[in-house]
Amino acid sequence: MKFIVELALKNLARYKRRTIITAIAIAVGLMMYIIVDSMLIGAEYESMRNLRWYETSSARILDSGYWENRMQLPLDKNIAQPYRIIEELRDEGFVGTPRTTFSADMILSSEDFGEEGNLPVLITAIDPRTDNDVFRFEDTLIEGRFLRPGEDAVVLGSWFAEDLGAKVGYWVTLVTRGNGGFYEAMDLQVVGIVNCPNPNVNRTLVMMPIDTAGDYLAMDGAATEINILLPDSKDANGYLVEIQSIIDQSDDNLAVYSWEALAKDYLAIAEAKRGGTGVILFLVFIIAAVGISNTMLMAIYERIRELGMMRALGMTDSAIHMAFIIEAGGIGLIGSIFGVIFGAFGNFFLVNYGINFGMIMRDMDMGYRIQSVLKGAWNPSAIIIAFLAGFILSMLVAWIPTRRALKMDIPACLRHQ
Amino acid sequence: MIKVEQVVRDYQAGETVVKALKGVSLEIGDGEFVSIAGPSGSGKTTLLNLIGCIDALDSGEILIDGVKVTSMDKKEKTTYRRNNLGFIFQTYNLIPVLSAYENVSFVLSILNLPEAEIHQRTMAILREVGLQGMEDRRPSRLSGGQQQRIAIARALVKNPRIVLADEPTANLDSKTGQEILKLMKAMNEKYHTTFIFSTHDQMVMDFADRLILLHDGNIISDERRSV
Amino acid sequence: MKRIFLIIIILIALIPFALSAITVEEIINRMDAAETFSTSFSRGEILSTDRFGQKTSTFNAWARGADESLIEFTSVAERGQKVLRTKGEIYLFYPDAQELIRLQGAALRQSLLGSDISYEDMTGEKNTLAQYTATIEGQESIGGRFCHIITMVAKSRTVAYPVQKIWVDMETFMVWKAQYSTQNGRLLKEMEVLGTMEVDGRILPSRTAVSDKLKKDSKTIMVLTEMQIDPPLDPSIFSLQNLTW
Repeated sequence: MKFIVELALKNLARYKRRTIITAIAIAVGLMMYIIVDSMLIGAEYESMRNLRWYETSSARILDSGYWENRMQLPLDKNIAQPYRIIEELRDEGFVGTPRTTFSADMILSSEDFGEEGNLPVLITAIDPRTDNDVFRFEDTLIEGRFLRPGEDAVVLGSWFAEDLGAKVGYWVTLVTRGNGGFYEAMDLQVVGIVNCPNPNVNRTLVMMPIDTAGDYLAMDGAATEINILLPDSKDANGYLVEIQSIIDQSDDNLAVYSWEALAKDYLAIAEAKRGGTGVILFLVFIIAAVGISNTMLMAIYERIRELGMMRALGMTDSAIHMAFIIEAGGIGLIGSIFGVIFGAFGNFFLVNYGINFGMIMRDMDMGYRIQSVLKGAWNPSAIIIAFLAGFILSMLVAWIPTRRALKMDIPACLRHQ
Repeated sequence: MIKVEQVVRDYQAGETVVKALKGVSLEIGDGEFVSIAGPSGSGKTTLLNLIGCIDALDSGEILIDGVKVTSMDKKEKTTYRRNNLGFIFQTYNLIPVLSAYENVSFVLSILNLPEAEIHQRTMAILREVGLQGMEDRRPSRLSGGQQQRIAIARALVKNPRIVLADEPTANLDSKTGQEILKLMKAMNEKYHTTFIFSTHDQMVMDFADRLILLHDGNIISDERRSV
Repeated sequence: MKRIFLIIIILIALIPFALSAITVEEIINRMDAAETFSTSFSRGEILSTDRFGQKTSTFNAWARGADESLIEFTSVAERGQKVLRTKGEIYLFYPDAQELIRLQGAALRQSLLGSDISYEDMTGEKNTLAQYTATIEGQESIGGRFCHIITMVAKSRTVAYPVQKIWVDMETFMVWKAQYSTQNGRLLKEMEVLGTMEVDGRILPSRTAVSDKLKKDSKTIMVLTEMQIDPPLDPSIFSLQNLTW
């Protein structure tokens, strides 16, 4: 046994260039695995967070009729007294803010924008006093100021504003249908521009004060939704049950929906994407595996005569098998160690500094709710898996060609050129 | 004592069957220094491989010291070779990553002998084949003759009953070849080890105590001579 | 003679007074009546213009009472598309997809063939007084026709246009012009009759322009090339089964 290990290690040391190249291939594969995995986890984590921070909040109370017809954004399926419910929630320790969303035609005048135009938009009417208790828009303001209650004003997402050519101070006209169906038009001034890290929001965001919207749309104090901030906790469902019991006391028609339910489509895509990224990671592995199997194949074939000699001299097949597997495992181990070191090193920068994908994300809808800087995340299990896989896979891929070589009869091995 | 009885060995070469040995019978006594000669394709290597238990025959029998080696299974053959047979190859077949010493000592390692004995026996045999002081050299830093000396040392270090050498001098110039033959002969005399070697070289044939000529899978002559 | 002349002058002077003596409710009811037939068949075209260009669609339309109508498009691009309106519902049939779509609620607000007319505009309940409070603002001549100017304010929020200002022909009670506004008086759409035709003694609009006042260069002209009033119609025309033939 000692001889076998020695022989394997000597072969490793002897064929330095081959060992180094193969180990580098493995190391690069593993490093890519660790970094790609980190990026994907980071992207997903940040996406989910940005989804909650800027789109769905942690949970949302809706009229159940609204939920059923949510595609039409029905203003009449509303929460009649949102503030009373928010008060009740606050008594139980939950933070909430009302919002009303509605679609409108945005009319741009040539006076401000240089030419006439109109486009369909989605308006989010918020309570400027409480919205930032639940959402995080105030931190994202890059121009002008945030909304004030009761004013005829809008705040736009920066990409949306850019696409429109809108600047702070410009006026836009919204034509929409009020609660009941009547036409309404409102002239609103752009008072601020936010750069929201969630690209889907930043690309479309139009916010206005909920009381202004309520007046125009004849909401009579109603809102279409109450958004709730929940503490990060494993027991989100427990909170939902608690909130449901609170709102059941005041209105039978209201129901609370988790952000997962609200972002169901996104989560389904994310799930599918995870399958796709699994394929990417698998390919990374395959590259490393092909590298080592090719190396071992060459190593074995150029040593078939040597192998025949050892067999003739009475060395058992299992011992020879072991020698090659230890050799491959040695390359795998070196590659894995360096792969993990490089991967961890690269990941350190990825986690702490991130990569700026801003220009790519701007023009490409990747589905992720991330803008500009993408940061990685530490995933110890991926690193351990990468390490073990690099090591074990290397030995496994050496198994087959060795077995094939050992199936040749000894004279054939000795004749082998 | 090696007893070869009516040994037939056919090879499948594509569509055709090549009859390598067509019913060869012979006996080789202990401590003989035998050359099996003949043109290439005459079946000499096949005969050597069969005696060396690394090939299987189609009919007939080979007995070594009364043991029917041809009816052993693969594992038994491996064990038998490990304990009783030494091999010398035309191309030496040394392990390039190992030193001269290691190339010899590993044969004893796989016999699981104690480390001290391995060392003592390896050093002794290397001295005998004239490689004293070259123990640490890798094969690539040795001449062909020196490499074949390692191979001889490797074959002899475990005191085998029989050493089989397939064209041991074919890759060497005639002077070195002669030295190798002399060394083999010396070892044969000293340890009383049976040496069987194949060759098609007249000089090598002349060196043998007994010359068996093969042609087309048959023995056409078997003569003992005194050198 | 002089006396007779005086009487005539007085009478002429009194005409506006006499006409304005008619109540606003009466005007609206007669206006509704002028737009309502027991049955009708028409042939015409819709010319819609927006900033991307002009488009012409031709159609045949059948109507019965105020609630039921069927429009079948005959122009190449929309051939075979049908819009069936029954009481409170609108169905769209697309022959290429063999698909029947029922429009409800907010979907009725979509525009018809990208024009300035929405499906909802077509579901004209012809009981204007139930939805609006009307007042006469005055009189004005439009294209040589004397009209009442009437402002109508919606009684409820379920009416699309909170404020309408209409110019109703004093004689024929046809609406020559209408302006649709928000509650604050923001003008949204304007309708103008550009030409009329006489069918069975009734004066009907033959060429009507609708423009979206908030969108520049946006205009839809509806032309009726043929109109039959009270033709006999098979009631099954307005059935869903009929829609998919």
